[in-house]
Amino acid sequence: MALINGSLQIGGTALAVSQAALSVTGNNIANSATEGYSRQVPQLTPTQSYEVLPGQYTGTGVAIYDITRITDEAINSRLRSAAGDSASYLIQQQTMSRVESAFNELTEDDVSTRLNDFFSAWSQLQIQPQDVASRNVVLQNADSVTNVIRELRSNLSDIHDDLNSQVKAAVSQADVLAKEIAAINGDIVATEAGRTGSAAALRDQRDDMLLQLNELVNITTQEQAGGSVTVYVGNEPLVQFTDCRGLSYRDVTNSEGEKVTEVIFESNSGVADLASGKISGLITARDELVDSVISDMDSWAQSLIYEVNNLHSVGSSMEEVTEFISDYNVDDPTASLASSSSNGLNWDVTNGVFNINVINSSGEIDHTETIKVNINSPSSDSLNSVAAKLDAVDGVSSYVDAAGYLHIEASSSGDSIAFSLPTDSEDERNYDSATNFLAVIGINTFFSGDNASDISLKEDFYNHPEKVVAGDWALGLTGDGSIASKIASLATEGASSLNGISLSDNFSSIVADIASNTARVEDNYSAAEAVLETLKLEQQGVSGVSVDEEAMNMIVFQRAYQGAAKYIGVIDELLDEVIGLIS
Amino acid sequence: MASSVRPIATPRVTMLMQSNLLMSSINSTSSELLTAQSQLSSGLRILRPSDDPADATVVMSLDNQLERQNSYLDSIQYVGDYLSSADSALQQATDLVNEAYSLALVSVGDTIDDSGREANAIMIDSIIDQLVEVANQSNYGAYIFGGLNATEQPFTFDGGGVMYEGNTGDRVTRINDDNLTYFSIDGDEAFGGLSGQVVGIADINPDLTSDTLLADVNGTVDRGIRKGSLSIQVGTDTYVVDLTNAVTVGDVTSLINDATGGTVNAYINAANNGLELDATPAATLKVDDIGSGTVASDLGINTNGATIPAGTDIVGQDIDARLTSQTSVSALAGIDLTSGIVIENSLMPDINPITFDSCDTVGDMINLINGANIGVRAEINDTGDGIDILNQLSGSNMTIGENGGTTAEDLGIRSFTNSSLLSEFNNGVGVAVTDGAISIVDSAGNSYSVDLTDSVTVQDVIDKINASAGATVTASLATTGNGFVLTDTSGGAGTMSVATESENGYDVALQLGISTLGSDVTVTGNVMQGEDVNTVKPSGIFSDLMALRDAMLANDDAEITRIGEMIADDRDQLINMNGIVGSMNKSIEQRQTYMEDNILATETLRSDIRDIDFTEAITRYENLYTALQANLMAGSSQSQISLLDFLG
Repeated sequence: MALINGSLQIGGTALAVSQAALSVTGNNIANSATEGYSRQVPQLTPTQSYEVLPGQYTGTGVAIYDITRITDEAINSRLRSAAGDSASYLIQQQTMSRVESAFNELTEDDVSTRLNDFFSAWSQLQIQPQDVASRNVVLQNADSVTNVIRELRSNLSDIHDDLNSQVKAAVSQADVLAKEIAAINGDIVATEAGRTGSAAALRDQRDDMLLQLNELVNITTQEQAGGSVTVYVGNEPLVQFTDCRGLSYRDVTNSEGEKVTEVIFESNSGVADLASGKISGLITARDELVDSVISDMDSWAQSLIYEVNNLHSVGSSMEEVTEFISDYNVDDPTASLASSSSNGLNWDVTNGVFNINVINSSGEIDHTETIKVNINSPSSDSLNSVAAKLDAVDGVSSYVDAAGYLHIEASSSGDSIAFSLPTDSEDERNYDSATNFLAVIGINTFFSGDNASDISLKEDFYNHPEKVVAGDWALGLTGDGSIASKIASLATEGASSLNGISLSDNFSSIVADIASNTARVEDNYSAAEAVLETLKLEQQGVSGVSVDEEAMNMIVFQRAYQGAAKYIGVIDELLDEVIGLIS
Repeated sequence: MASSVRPIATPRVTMLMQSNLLMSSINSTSSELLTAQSQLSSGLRILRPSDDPADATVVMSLDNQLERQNSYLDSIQYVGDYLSSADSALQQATDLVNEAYSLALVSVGDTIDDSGREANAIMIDSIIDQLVEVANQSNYGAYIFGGLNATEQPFTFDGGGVMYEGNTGDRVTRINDDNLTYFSIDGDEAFGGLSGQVVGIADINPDLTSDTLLADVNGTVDRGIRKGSLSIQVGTDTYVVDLTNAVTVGDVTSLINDATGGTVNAYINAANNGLELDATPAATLKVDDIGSGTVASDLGINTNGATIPAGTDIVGQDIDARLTSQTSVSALAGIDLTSGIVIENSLMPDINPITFDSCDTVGDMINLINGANIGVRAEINDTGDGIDILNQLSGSNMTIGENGGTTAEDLGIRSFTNSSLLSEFNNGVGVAVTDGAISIVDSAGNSYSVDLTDSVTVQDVIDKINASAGATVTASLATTGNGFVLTDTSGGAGTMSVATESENGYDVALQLGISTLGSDVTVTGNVMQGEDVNTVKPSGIFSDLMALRDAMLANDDAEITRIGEMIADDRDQLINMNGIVGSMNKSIEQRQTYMEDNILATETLRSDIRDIDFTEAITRYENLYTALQANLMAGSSQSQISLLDFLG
């Protein structure tokens, strides 16, 4: 009877296996639309043989030795890294696109149009320096160009701040994911208990988390015996079995004095080496893309302030001015003016001269004194010593106040003060011999501020067009627009503070940089996205569920079941026969 | 075009694969379709700089160029307006001067009587009034003929003369990126509002001081100081001195002293016209320029390859400091600044002698003269070696003389000097010296006849008087004021007298300002003070019209004829100026056309780069539209079929 029982056993295994295989197929079809699901394939195997006739053997039926989750770890790992790249470039692309919109170039409402209008206004003032309307146009355009620069700069700061908060959010998101992965590691090990791969759903879930984590941080993984994965960031482990070192961030100032954010491991505050992923993308976008635009804009605006002020400061306005107070102050009035780093000013003062004119009450020059600002080793002037030179001029009193601001006043009532430059043999202003002292300290200047965030028309000018300096008005040259002309030509002439590049060209090159960076990150993003999509397809090709395939399997297992049932029926009939013999 | 996803070779096709591929394909096609649509609706190919960074840069630069060109066009139009206004003002002035010339012609001869001439003189006065009005016309609020002084009326009536308060600077505007154009006509150019300057003989050569700007130094070869570095070899040590940041002579000396660590001492030489270098301790010295630099040569201290022996100084050459308003009076060696000068302008009240004791700089001296407010203007001359004094008051005679010293002559501003030419006396009428003679009678009754034939300068006259009458009467230049001074040493009881010996029909003594019958000649004791007949007045239309009026009132036919000729010259000058303005206007009109063409060309270029090619864009749009349609169709039919449909 062993034989017949054995035969029944064979049919039994076939029924059980077919049913199990049909379950796998059913589960696959059920998950055919589940993102991240890896299809499963039952692995059938014949069972052990036994002797049916002397010396003749056959198997004892069929068994499922494994239900395999079809994945390709190589593709998965490439997929994760591509997802990281794509996430990083997506952030950069979004950021640059915001930066580009902030600039709004190629429209009628951008900085370059306003800047051209501003210089055109000076150009018109050059031919009509006595015309109050022309002066008002200069002021309106100055106000408009500085407003739009400040607005742009504040938009850029907003983008920067926004990226900053996104970094923080993304780091804590990554931290949560890492902790969940550690937890799921424990679950998988416990569930599988030596039966590797049996916790397929948990593994799919973990794969999905790893993918999400990889979108944030570039990780590498290594599966350990028992089913847990170790997650590395760079060369350092983030998750080991159920242990998570945690991720956090801190703001530091780097060696170049810039404030940057570092992502660190919570456990030991070690710096995580981020190469791709959303967080790295955010940090790159903030520190390399946005901050470099901000710093370009700041130095450009600083040049605009300096160049205009430098020309404006050595002429006179239509108004009689009795007192000048500097816009900027020094930290130490006894410090040399030679180096801005040691005295708290924005620019280095150059060696040279300017003229101070004392104008009497009937509007005529009473006398003119040339002030030499010494910037040569070994003895350079300090603000105090320049103030002393000014104070020594008849009719002028000058001092540095407690806060480090320079005051220059006419000491006799009715007198006023005007500045000019010595002239050369052609009666042209001698710019070669001039010092930039007045512009650096902010006396008789046009703009206030020292970067794009605070550049502004000096408040004195609001409703006072007569205060604009177009030439040497105080010297009786009311039709002299030569300073206005010099300022107008800043549009095209190389500026010393920009290494010989003109203000317009420099601004255009900032915009061109943004344009090419935007185009570059867009290209990078679409390339990374294409790779990602392709890898997703590849992954689908391996792990995805084909409903047609599963339908075929269904037929196969159904038939196998039907066959096995039939077989059991036959064995049953055989048993009936045998039992009939007995009765 | 349709999808950016690369096709893959896969043995299995799964449901998600199909739907993902379809999704990404639809997405990318739709996004391109959107771009094409916005390009079509705006007509622009480049909407954001990143659409095409290279072309966008060109578009931006063209935008900048256009905006500038439009501003240049505005300036050009302004200049055109100015020139048209100047043109019409000059036309009106020409008409007025023509009228004056006609009046001069009809005022001569027997056909007109004294009262007729008086009436004409009144008409000349009205012409002067109208001409002042014309000369004060303005354009956009700036006086046309005011030079750089745009807000003060250039011509005003003052003391019976016409004062020119304008300036001679040229107004200037930018007409393209690289060029400025000077466009203004000032009142001196158009109407002769200023006199010529008093031409002195003195070359004022100020001392070099440590405050002297290098820009105010002519250098050894008159090319200025071209900054750079120089090398100094002291014994066996060589030092390089970088002078690029030097601005004053003091900077040069301190940079040299500093760079050589004190071994070389640089200072201003004893002649105060250049530099001097010595070494401590004494060592050989050699100064050279570096490479193609010229700074050592310009500063006059290049030893030209020679090594100066130890103990000998390098005494630099004269580097010729220019006179500037900032030149300190202490640098004016050898000039008598204490005595002062006497300036008179005939239509203006007399003023006290001007002394320069209180002045610190040349600028102060100039301010002092200008501040006298007698229509006299002082300025530093173009060559930077003297002071020019001009008369701004048409119709008035200016004289500049000494105040007991030599100040005026030292400064080169005395209007009557030993070398003054007799031919320029009496406002250019001159002195008729050929066959001209004067007779001098001293107080003792001695009479001398002085033949002036062949005299050219004042000194010649003095020499001839002293040669003929030297026994008792000596001639010299006035030490106070101007004019000849005759000193009578005969000690007689009478009064010295000077008169013309009628030989050539001209009153030569009067022409020389020494006729005792003349109104301004005074005899005090034994000294006769002559009159300054070499005065300076603006030689323009206003002076001439006033002279014509005076001649008409004086019924002086000869003078009317002479002035009439000058007015004809003035008219020609005006016509000439009108022609110049006309041609400037013509050229500015060409500029305008040229700029308009340029703007058009720039706009065309920008549109070529920035605008879309509609045919191409529409074709692309159609293609994308078809692709999207195909995608949707394929997708929907593909997801409908499955093996499951066929299982019974």
